[in-house]
Amino acid sequence: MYDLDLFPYPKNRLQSTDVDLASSLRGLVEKEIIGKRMELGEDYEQLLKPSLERILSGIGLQKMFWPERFGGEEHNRPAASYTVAAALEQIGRADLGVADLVAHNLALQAALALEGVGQEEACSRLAPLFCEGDRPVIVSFILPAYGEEEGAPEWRGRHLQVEAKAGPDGWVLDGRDVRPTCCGTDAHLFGAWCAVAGEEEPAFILVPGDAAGLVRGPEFKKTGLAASRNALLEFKRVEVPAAACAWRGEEGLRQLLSWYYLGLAAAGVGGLLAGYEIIREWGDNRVIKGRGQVFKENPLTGALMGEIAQETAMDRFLAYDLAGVLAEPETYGGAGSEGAHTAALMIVHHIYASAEKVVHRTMELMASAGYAKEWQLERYWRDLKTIQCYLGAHELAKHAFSRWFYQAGKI
Amino acid sequence: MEQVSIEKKGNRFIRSLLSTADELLLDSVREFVDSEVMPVRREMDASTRSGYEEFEVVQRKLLPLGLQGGFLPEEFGGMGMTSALTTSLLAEEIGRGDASLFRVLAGGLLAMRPAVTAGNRAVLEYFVPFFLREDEVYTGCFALSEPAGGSDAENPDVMGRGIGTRAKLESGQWVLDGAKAWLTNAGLAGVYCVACNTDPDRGEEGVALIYLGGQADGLRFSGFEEMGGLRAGRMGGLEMKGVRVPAEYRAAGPEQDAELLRDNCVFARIFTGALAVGAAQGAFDEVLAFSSDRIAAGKPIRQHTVCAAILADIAMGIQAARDNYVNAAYIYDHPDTYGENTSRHMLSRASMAKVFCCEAAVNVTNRAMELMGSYGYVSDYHIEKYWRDVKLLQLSEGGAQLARLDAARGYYDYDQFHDNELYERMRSSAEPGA
Repeated sequence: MYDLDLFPYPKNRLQSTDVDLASSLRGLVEKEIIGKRMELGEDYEQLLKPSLERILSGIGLQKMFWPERFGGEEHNRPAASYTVAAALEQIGRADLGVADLVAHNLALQAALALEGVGQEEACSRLAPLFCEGDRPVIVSFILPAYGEEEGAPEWRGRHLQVEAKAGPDGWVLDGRDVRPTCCGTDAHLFGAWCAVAGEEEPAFILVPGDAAGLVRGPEFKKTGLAASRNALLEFKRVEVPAAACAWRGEEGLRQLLSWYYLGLAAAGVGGLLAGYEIIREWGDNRVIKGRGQVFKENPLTGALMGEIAQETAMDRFLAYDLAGVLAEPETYGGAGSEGAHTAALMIVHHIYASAEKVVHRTMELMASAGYAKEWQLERYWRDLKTIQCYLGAHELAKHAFSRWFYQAGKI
Repeated sequence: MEQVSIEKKGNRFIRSLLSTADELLLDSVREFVDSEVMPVRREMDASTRSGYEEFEVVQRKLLPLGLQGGFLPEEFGGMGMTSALTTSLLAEEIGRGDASLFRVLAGGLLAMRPAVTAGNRAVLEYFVPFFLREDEVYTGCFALSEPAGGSDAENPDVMGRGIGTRAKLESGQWVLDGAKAWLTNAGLAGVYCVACNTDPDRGEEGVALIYLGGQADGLRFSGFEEMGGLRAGRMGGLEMKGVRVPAEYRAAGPEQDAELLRDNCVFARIFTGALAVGAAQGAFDEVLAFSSDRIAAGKPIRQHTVCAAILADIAMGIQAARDNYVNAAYIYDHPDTYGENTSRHMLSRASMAKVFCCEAAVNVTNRAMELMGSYGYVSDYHIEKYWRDVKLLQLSEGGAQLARLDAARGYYDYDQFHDNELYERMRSSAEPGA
């Protein structure tokens, strides 16, 4: 393994506990994922699921934000953003699908238990699920989808996939062909941004995976993120208590997504670092015949490898910059503010666009080895593209940037 | 699905370059792709999990069209189809459905072309009948790449020295020793055309293309590679230990074999570009249909300006790429006007077509996938398959970088080992004991 500190990042802003955590995670993923993937490929049951369990419940990331009085570690100040970045970078370096699931889990914790914005009732209800026992909690979101669906409530040019009605005993949820962000087959907890019948403001409602009336479809085949076995869902009059509504209002959703984007951004950097390690080994060992020139010392391939390193270094800066924005709500307005959320969206899109370019370059340099599974690069290629796809078309994200920077409210 | 294929107005010009017989063949192949490949293309790709059954069913259905031996001389019962343009247009049509299907066919084409061009009767008389059978799939394999050197074998600067497989003439037989890698149809083919070296010190004169049958003693195959794309087109390696074949199984002879090898590389680059365009067209057809069905803000998304602009970029990329490979193929087919097919200019032109078409296809499928958001990476919508396949096409035939260097060769005498005193000093000072 190579020294990844070659790529500078604001190490001084990390606490020693962050550095220790990142180091533990690095050891864990190198042993449990990187060390076994040649043999196990992308096997969910034997490789990815056990790794996720070790990270979430073994190392304890699923307890991170929850208050101590509920069994958590109460590492819940905004500066925990650096912990999230350092952790997700290491996990993403090993497997982007596992990192995505950890990012979901941490984002929900941050949205519910962050110091200053935490919600006591939601914490008291949910923290035991995350903090007691050693079962990993797989979290999935149900977010507004692009385009229109017949009969589905429209929201900001998109449609809401689940509709909630307030009843005397709580909420009743309905929805067809609901596509969660991940793990439709395995999630233990869904957080759904629901339309509320008769009201304009949606609600974020938490639904246990075993709720009566929640029907999971068959797993659908997709190109990447093998750790996330996804499926369409149906909500058939799913009943949850009134307290299952974690929040109303868009600020909460922005907060959740800003933290989620931070996790994804750092995971993407992890994927880039993995690509760097692969091409570095290739560049050190491959010899161009004729003059016996080492690959990395050929001016053409050396320049392309330089470009890969440059993009990776810049992206790492960006991910930690985003952690800095979320760490200082007094300066930047907090994760739920439009400004911070737009910054998070810009950075995560930028990193995945850059990652796409870098991984393509790396594959081109490695030619046939670039697409052979034994070199492992092609799994990052598929995973990075899959995440980029579910971030949505870049053009639509650019509309969000225009709305913020030019006050183009009607776009 | 909406048809946006090459018969549309803008491409009538291309069809006007074809003979009537080739036009009819192209139409038949298009119908075959629409009816037999499109409905099962996902299953063909996924058939790696079921012993390639679905893929092989389609291979067998393709037999009556005669493509398996279509490139063989009429004198031997083939169709004498040697045109790069026709081959490339067929590649585009089949690539629109499944690029692996064409790559498997092309294994036979590339294996037999040197013998066809050289008129090697011993090779043709023995192997041609197998290709002409209409009841059995028979493939060939052009064995060029090697485990230690990747695409060095097709690099003009190291050709000869870059080929590690050795061929020695002993008692009227060639004896082959060495290993090959990344070969389409390795382990499946009935005939192998192996790029060998008779003497590394003789440069191109030492290059030999030698034929051997798939059952030859001393020939051993490695397993198939697990690949990110082109999954049904099985690739693997082979090892030769003292494999003996008749002396007349050398394609032509000293120097001529190097020319034939270069000719194959040029030909393969042109049709690989076309294959990438076909896959890009398949992706475009999918995203057009999706953007028609998907409604946002009260209208199909393709009626929104931002989406229309992306679709226009995709269409421009495909059409420019198609024009590019068609031009290269046309030049190849008219050596009397444009010069020899193995000239550096032709190598450059073919390389440009391959690099440009593959890059266009990678960009097209990337954009199409993003436009479809979460549907883009789900196998049901096919885009992700095209996306995986075109990237692999880009990495084939020497990859994206070596082909660029070959493109430069058309404009000046590029030599990557051009004498360089500074480099020599740096190298000698870095050597142990210096």
